Amino acid sequence: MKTIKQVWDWFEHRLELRDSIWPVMRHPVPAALAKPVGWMYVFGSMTLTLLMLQIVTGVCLAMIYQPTAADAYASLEYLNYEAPFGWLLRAIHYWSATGMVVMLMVHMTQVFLMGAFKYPRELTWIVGVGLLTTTLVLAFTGQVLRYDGDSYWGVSVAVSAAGRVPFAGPSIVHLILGGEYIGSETLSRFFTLHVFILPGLLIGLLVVHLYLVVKRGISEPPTPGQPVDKATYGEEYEKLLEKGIPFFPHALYRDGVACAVAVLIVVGLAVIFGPKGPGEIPDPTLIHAEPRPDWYFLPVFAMAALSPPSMETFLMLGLPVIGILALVAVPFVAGSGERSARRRPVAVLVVLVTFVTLLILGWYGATSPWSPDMEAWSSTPVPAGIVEKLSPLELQGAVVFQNKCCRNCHALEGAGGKRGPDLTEVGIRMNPEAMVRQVVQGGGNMPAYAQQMNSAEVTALVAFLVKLRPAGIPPAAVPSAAAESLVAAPAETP
Amino acid sequence: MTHSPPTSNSPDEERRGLLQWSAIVLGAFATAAAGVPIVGFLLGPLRKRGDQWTTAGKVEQFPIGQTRLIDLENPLHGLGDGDAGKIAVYVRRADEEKFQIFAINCTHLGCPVNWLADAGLFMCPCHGGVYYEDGSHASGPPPRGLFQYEHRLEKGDLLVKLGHLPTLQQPG
Amino acid sequence: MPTANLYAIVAAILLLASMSIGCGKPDPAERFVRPDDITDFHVLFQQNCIGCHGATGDLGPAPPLADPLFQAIVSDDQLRETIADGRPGTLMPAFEKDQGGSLTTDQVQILVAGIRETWKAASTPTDKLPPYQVSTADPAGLKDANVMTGKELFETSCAKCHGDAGVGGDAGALNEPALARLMSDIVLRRLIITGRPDLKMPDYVTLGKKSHTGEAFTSEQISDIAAYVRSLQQPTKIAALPADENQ
Repeated sequence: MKTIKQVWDWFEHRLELRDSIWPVMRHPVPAALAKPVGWMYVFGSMTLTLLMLQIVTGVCLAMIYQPTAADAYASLEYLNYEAPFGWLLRAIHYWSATGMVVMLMVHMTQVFLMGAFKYPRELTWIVGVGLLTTTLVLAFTGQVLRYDGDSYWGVSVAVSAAGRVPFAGPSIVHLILGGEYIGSETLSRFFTLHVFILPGLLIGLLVVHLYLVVKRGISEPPTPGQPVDKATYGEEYEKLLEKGIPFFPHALYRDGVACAVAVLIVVGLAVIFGPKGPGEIPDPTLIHAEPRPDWYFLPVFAMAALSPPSMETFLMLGLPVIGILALVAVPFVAGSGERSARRRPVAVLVVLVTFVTLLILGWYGATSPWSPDMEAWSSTPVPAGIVEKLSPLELQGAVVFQNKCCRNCHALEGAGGKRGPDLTEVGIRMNPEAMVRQVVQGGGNMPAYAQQMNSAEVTALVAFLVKLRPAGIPPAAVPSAAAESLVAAPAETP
Repeated sequence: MTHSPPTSNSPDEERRGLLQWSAIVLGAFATAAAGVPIVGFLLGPLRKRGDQWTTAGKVEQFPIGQTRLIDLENPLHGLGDGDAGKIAVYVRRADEEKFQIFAINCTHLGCPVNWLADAGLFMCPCHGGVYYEDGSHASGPPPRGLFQYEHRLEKGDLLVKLGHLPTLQQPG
Repeated sequence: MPTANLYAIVAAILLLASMSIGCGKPDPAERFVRPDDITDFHVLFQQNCIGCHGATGDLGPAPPLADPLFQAIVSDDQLRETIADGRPGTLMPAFEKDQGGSLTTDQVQILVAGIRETWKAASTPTDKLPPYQVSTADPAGLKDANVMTGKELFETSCAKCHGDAGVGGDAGALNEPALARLMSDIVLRRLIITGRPDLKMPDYVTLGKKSHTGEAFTSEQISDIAAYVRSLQQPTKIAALPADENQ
């Protein structure tokens, strides 16, 4: 016992932790945090805990992962199938990344709704926006390191978008690729970013963020009718802290519980659902790829697909920048005044609209109805119930429908591509003349088939399409309003 | 920078001024000495490597009126590229002499377009961009027709000039 | 204590979830296989054939493969050739890589073997079957066919469903000029032989017994009927459309 005390004193004499760390641990926080509302203050710590989990699992994965285009895929398979716990570490890294982004958004939402970004904590928020941006770039680079078909073609998409930047486009493309094409130097770059540069940046920002949290103190839970006044806030906060409670042990234990739960959930998800991918082999000669980003970027993915061509470049390149600038501007626009969400209807509305928009875009991104089903023509059968009703010519028409890949964009009874309208009941919407015109001339986002089909094929196809209507309902006599909108609609909502 | 006033002759102050300037000047030199190679290295990829000619195959292996997907080795490929050092192109032989070599990358966002031989169309799986068999834009979001590579016929061989990833401002 | 409860609840949920969903450890069997290396017949058939030939090889718009009579008259080579090279001029595409398709020669062979194995005839037929192909030069034997004999057979048998002169009845019209260009002679012959069991069209035996002869159609009679059906589909009647007529 005496020896331990001696050793401790030896270190303490040199480190003087009692003067540096201990006051920080015991720094007073508003007394209200001991109440249940204190649970609103754990999200930042949960994000931090998942970041630490990311760092540890990431370091482990880097011991096996091969950051070259030739071997990366094989090393991922080795991790999945051979390395002890390799699959679980990959899974934890993936689910912890997911958890980190989720908790980061929850944390930001809480800070925003409780007005904690207001004076004097504006810089803490701005550094937080930096942390969000860095985390998202880490998420994207990490997705590229899962080097499979999605990753390869995902880089291709990112580069094609970057290549649209006026003037600097080609240079940006070269800097991202590290050369002329997607190859080993590209992957090495993403590896360096993901493993050295971005984590370094993240930790640097994090140090500033935490320094500010301690320096400016934890914000007290807002009370409606008590606006922040820059002239008096500092004094009021000082007074509040006089009645405050020490951070350690009270708030820290609460954080500890929440963080443990976060880790348990992440590991649980990892055990149950396992790692993501790798999917198909990243080989530029395998062209049946349909790259889809990880969930974080599904809204952006959907945005790029849904935007009209004239705004496309702006939405792809400009919107993310505007979004970040808007977040940075928040404390300058509303740096003082009411903090309680009960008195800030606009803030609540902004949060609601943002999340609903992200959810809808994310859902569209996940289902991507604008993507043709490239295999449908040969792998999605014509529903047997339709086939049974067909005459010899209509049967041939159905074969034309499949063979000319109409099915890749048009579904029958819900099966097939969703890019164009479902044609299960097209016979009651369009008359044969309108069908011929649509097939031969195209229009409304449909290619013209004049060069691709002979007259016999068009005749058979139209005979088949006319037959596509519920029993007992006569075919359309004139192109109805519905038929017109059928032609025009895809132009507006591809 | 505040220089020590010329009226002051104290050797101490002179030495301090000299030291201050030495630190600034030498520091600038040291930063440049280490920084130039680092920045130069980082900007290295900006140096363009031109596309190179490579043999796509014998002329007679491409039937007239058909479009074929062929796998080639990217002439620019380097160490550790593995499969990524390959490149696929579409070769369309319109008639005896006329060839068209298309990049597989969609002009919209670089996804790999698929040739649907029966429909006579190229279709992109990402956002449904469609091109006719001559590479011209048929429908969907692409801003232009397919990227085409330079090519020539020589001694019964079809030669293609390729290497870089085609994007809107750097087409084939 | 509430935190202990929380722990217990989380642990219970995780335990239940992992028991119900199972472990997330990746299964090597689910590794990605290069398209060229797929050797499973069912996967290849599902990816390439069912779009037109139906999910189970029948009830698709194209002639059924799940047809023992068809399997009995067609040879491995004929099947392989059709899959590899397609039927030029019709909607059956070529599937072999050399012909612009997406399958390797081995994969075509796997499809042939799989189709044979899956839908082979239950027993070897006792009667002599009419040949699938009459001769290489004239696959459906139309050159030497007698249209008038065909007409008589058609009117006494086929017309019951397809109407006189093929104008259509319960089974739809055959006098469509477009059919002459979309359906090859050999497919026409095959359909007269096998019928379409999945669409209630009887085979040559039943059809023949319904005709004035009262006996199964012979190979020549099948050619005669095919020739007559062809004569009903005068291609000159096709309305000119702004389409490439020679594609």
